Amino acid sequence: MFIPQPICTGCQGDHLEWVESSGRGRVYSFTTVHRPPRPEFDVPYVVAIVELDEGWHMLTNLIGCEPNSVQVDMPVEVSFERMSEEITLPMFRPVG
Amino acid sequence: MSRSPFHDVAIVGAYNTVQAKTADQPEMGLLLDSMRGAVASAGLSLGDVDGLNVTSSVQRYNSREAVALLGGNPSWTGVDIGIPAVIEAAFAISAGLADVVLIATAQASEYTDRVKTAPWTRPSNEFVECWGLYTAAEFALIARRHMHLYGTKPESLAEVASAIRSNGARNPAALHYGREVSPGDVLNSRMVADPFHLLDCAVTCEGGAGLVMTSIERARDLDVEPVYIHGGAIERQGMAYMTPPVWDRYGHSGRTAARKAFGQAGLTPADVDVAEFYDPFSFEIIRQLEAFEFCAEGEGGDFVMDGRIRIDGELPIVTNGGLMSFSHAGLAQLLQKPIAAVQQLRGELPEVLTVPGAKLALASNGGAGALFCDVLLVGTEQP
Ligand SMILES: [Zn+2]
Repeated sequence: MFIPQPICTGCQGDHLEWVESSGRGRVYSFTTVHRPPRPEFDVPYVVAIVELDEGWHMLTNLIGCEPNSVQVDMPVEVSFERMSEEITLPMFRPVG
Repeated sequence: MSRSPFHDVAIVGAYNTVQAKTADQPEMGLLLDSMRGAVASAGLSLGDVDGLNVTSSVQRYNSREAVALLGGNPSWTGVDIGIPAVIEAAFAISAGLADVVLIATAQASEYTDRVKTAPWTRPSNEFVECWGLYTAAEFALIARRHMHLYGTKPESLAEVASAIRSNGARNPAALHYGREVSPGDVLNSRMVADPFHLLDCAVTCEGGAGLVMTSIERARDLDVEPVYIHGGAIERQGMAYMTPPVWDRYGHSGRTAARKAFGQAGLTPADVDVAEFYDPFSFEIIRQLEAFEFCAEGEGGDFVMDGRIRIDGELPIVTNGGLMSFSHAGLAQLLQKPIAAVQQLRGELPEVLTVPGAKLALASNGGAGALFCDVLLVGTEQP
């Protein structure tokens, strides 16, 4: 289940625990952004929904590839990118 | 068939203020204009209003406070926005909680930092903001998946944007009046969030709008042509702009609402003469055609071609120019969908945009990227 919720959204029970993901998955959908919401983002950049091998989905950025080379179903893996002293973000890179 | 839940209710007033890139008056002025204009279009005065629903984007002025403007006369106040506001007002009238309901809304001076995209397009939520996401990108993720699954082409998206913008070009009240846009113009405009070009996206502007509803008995005494509600339903799918907009889960957003609304009406999509679809981005039209079952899954891209959705086509859509050309102001734009449907059926749009003989119009709010989608059916005959 993602994003995190206070109860299970399937049965409304409390039986939740943190499970570590493999960090591997495929591109479910993507968009290359040319007009950023605020000027702090350098364009173009790729926003994607990644479907993890465990079956859940997350929003992220794809890095380490040309925007026009991205395809749906492309295999990717997580890459923890250090943005500042306090902030590290789970982005994804193409595998292989 | 049992009697329609909307049997006793009529829409009698519909009004838009001037819509402008930057309004020539503050939000409160726009709101008062919306209130006065809406009751005037119904042949009523503000003193007749005993149910009120007021929203303003920046001042956060609300119904409970606005009751004071009317001398405390309204006893019922609404809480929702857009189509759900119309539905709750209808049931308040049916239940005798109010006889004349005024829904009014305005927005001005919200979008001031033009280096950024409009504030309402970029919710600052965890799991979203850090990726540079905002509404165009969220809706693009939905569109991209559909293109992957069904081979939907950018040319279909461009035809949608061109059809809507052509309507707006012929509407003197539209922000982009006179700006005819061809499919080629859409494809040649700069890329915003692939597959959306600039002209695949809604405009941003300021303005207000108002709608007046009353009981059938009261409507009979008024010197206006009432419009009736045939069906209305709401669909909510959770935390918008936080949850990934996964096509498999949210691509059919609005199907449940549409089935309920058509069920209430005893009608089908084939009965709809005009569709005032919610049009934040071009692809949303293709998606709603499928979600509301005007066509089969994956066929929306073909459905929109060959002039079918243009003003003289089989199913004219977004006849006032919509969010892409008419206006996209704060919360007013949600109410402007039912208003467009009412104005179309009452023949209040310019003649060139009036669909001859139109009896049933659909209006919608929301979309797959926003995780909600509401549907309203209005018609010229009492249900
Ligand atoms: Zn459970």
